Parts: sequence; structure tokens; C-alpha cells
Amino acid sequence: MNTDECRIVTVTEITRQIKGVLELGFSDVWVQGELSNMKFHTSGHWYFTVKDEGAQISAVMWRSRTLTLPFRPQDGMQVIVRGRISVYEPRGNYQLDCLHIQPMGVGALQMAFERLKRKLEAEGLFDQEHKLSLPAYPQRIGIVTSPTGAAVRDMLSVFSRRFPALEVFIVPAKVQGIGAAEEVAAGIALLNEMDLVDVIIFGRGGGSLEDLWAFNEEVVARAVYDSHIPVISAVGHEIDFSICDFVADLRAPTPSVAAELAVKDRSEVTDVVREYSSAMTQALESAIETHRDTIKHLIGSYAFNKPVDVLRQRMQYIDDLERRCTASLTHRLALLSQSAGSMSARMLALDPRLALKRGYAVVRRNGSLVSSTRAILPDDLITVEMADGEADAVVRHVRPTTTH
Amino acid sequence: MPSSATFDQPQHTSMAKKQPAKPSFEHSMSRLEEIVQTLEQGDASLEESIALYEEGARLAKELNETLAHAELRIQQITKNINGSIDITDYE
Repeated sequence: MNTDECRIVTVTEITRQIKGVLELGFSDVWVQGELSNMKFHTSGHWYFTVKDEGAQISAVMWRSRTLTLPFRPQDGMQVIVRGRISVYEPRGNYQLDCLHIQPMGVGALQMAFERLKRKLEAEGLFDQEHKLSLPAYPQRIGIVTSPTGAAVRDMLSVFSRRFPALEVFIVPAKVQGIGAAEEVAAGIALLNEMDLVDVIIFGRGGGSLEDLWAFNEEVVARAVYDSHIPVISAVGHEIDFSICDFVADLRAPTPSVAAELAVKDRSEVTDVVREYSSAMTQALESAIETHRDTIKHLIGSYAFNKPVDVLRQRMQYIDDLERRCTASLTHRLALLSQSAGSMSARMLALDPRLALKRGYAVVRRNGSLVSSTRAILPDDLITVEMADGEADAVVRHVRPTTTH
Repeated sequence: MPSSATFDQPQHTSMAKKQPAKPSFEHSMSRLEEIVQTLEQGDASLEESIALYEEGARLAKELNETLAHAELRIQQITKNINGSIDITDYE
């Protein structure tokens, strides 16, 4: 080997080159392993080792980052560490500079979960009597979630399918990692402060216990509890509950289900409106029926006030009106059944004013409706209302029907 | 930002109050239900019944129109660092 062809470098230079390669090549890594040798330095920085069966790596977490970590790491804890590789030149060491540590598995988180659950339960945050009832027909819905996640898309598609007569307000929030819980809580608080929605849905799609951890944090639980607007939790997990599920006014296993629970199906509501309409027409129909005989009878009385020829003309005119009316009604019915459905058409057919057009009349005495011969006496002044106007008349005889 | 409304935080509570201009869907539904009940009880005079029927028919028509033609409106609320709140269309 010829030294001319070899480039000789100093230790500092080679270390600097190694540093460059490592720090560039491992600028954002996720490392899974077990924590050991945890040292919580008085400076607030943490020094520890992440290891598995085959290897180990030194790690450091600076104070500023430890402050936002939702739990305290312990030796033996299985974790996923996110960070970058840095090289400490004076010692020629490389280490994992940690941005975040997530516990794996149930152990640590389960303990934190149970502890918080017991605490909030004891405080009464889960009490049924605190639960708000949801509006039957909300018009404005607030959603606190990631604006780009699958959860928001799922919910919006449920709303457009089921009940699009809605205004949806999305409050973007991180739903995972450091600061997520605070953003979700702030979103719920903001919607309360603005007071413009009828119901709030918060949550995210499914994930591991670690992914969903924000929804097990006290700050979110308290924001949900403090909400004066009904809240639906929509954290995507089919089996487990989150702390927020216990506090929310309604718990849904997924965002899609939350959206389904929040609004009724449009076709079901249309059916309800149709049922109301037909109940209404039936009720009015029978009311008209009970008045019909009386009205018929009063028309009879009216006829005695007029010369026979006028009466005949009148009857002919009424016959004519009825023909025109039927023709017009048939036409309108055809139009309506095309556009608004048979329900409206049926209602139109039963409009009581059509009874007038068919030749029935309404009799009033001193402005009030006369529905019985008992209400009038001979020489009373009465007004007879017909489809196209009214006539003043004097009662000559009153003959109550004896057969009824 | 296609359409954007910005307002300062101290003002927003009054601006964000629910507008009573249009009766809400829920209100119309419960009024319609009430009318059906009154008509079914049969205590009202024919004149009252007719007036109730007309009101009910109008409500049913409006509700059906809302159900048939409504489109989902989506907006996004952002709170800025200075505390002001933006409501923008969500794309």
C-alpha cells in the first residue's frame, strides 16, 4: 500500500466525517427496545440505554423534551423511541438523541389509565346525572379531530348520506403524540366558548393504546366534563374504552358510528313527516265529515230564501264549478305527484276550501260559525260564505232534522 | 381562502349566537307533532282545525324541502396565536 494513494486524516477529521454520515443518515429514527439504566440527572436531562437481546444504544433526552412526556419512564419498560443519532466527538460516542418516548404494551399505560379512571370516577366525572341529552335534530355540529385524517372524511360522508341539512364546523387538532391531548381539550373548550354548535364530536380513527393515549388524559376528560354542549366521543377502538368515553354524554366505538348516532337518517325523518301529514289529513277529514251534514242542511235553509230560478242557476253554476274544479285538481295532482310526492297531493285534495268549491257553504251568524240549527232563530241575519264570495240572508224557518 | 370570516375574540360571542331568524328543524318538527295531536283530539273548531291544518301543511312542505335539497356545509375554525378566530370553508 502506497501512502501517496492513502489520504491520512486526523482523529478529529475522521470523527467529524463519521458524525456527518451518521447524523445525516439517521436524522429521524424510531427505535424499539427496552429501557435500562435510567438516570434522571439533576439538570433535568435523562441519560439511559435502549437495548434488546442483541445490542444496546446510549440515549439522552434533554430536559425540554422530558417536560411534555405524559409518563415517567422506568427501567424494564418496553418503548418506542423517536429521535436522531448524534455523535459526541470528545468521546467518539454515538447516542440516540430522543424527541419522544412511547411506552409499548399495556403495562405502564394500563396503570396510568386505571389510576386516572379511579380518580375521575371518585370525583363524579362519570356520573349519569351529569350527562346531557343529545338534540333530536342538530343543525350545527362541531368536530374536533385531525382535519386530514380518515375520521373526518368518514364522518362527513355519513352526514352527507344520512342528513345533509347540516353545518359542520371542524376544529383541527393533533390526535396523537405530544400536545395532542391539549389540542383536543382546547378544541372542545373553543366550541363551548363560541357556542354555535348543537353537538360536539371529538376523536380519531383506530390505533394502538399508545396512539389513542391522548384520549386517556385528564385534560381531555375535564374539557368533556366542562362542556355545556352535548359531547360524543368517537375514539376508534372496538373493545376498549378510553377515559373520555366514560365522561362523554355518548360514546361511539368509531367516528362513523358517532356521526350515525348524531343525526337521524333523512329517509326515516321523511317517513315521520309523511306520517304526521297523513294523521293530520285524517283528523281533518273526520272533522269535516262531522260538519258535513250540518252544512248540507244549512244550504237547504239558505235555498228557501231565494226564488226558484235563482236557485236553479246557482245549482247549475255549482255543477259547473265542480267540473272545473275536478279537472283542475286532477291536473294539479298529476303535477304534484311528480314533484312533491303523493303526501302533499293528498293533503291538497282534502283542503276544506275545496268543499266550498264543491258547493258546500259556511254559515256565520255575527261572525261565528253556525254548525247547528239550534244556533239560529227565524229573522236572524246570517252570512253564507261560498267559494267565490258571500251572501247576507235572513232566516225564515228553522227545521231541525228529525232523523239524526 | 375562498370565503373567510375573521373576528376578534372579545366580539365573537355576540356574533356567534344562534340566529333566531329561521325556526330550526327541530322546532318545526315538534310544532308539526303538536298540530297532529291537537287535530287528533278533535276539540278544535272547524275554523281552528283548518288554520292548524294549513300551518301543518306548510311546515311539512318546508321540512320536506329541507330534507330533499339540503347540502352539507363544512367550515373550519382556527384560533390564531393572537387569539382571533377564523372560520373558513373546509375544502
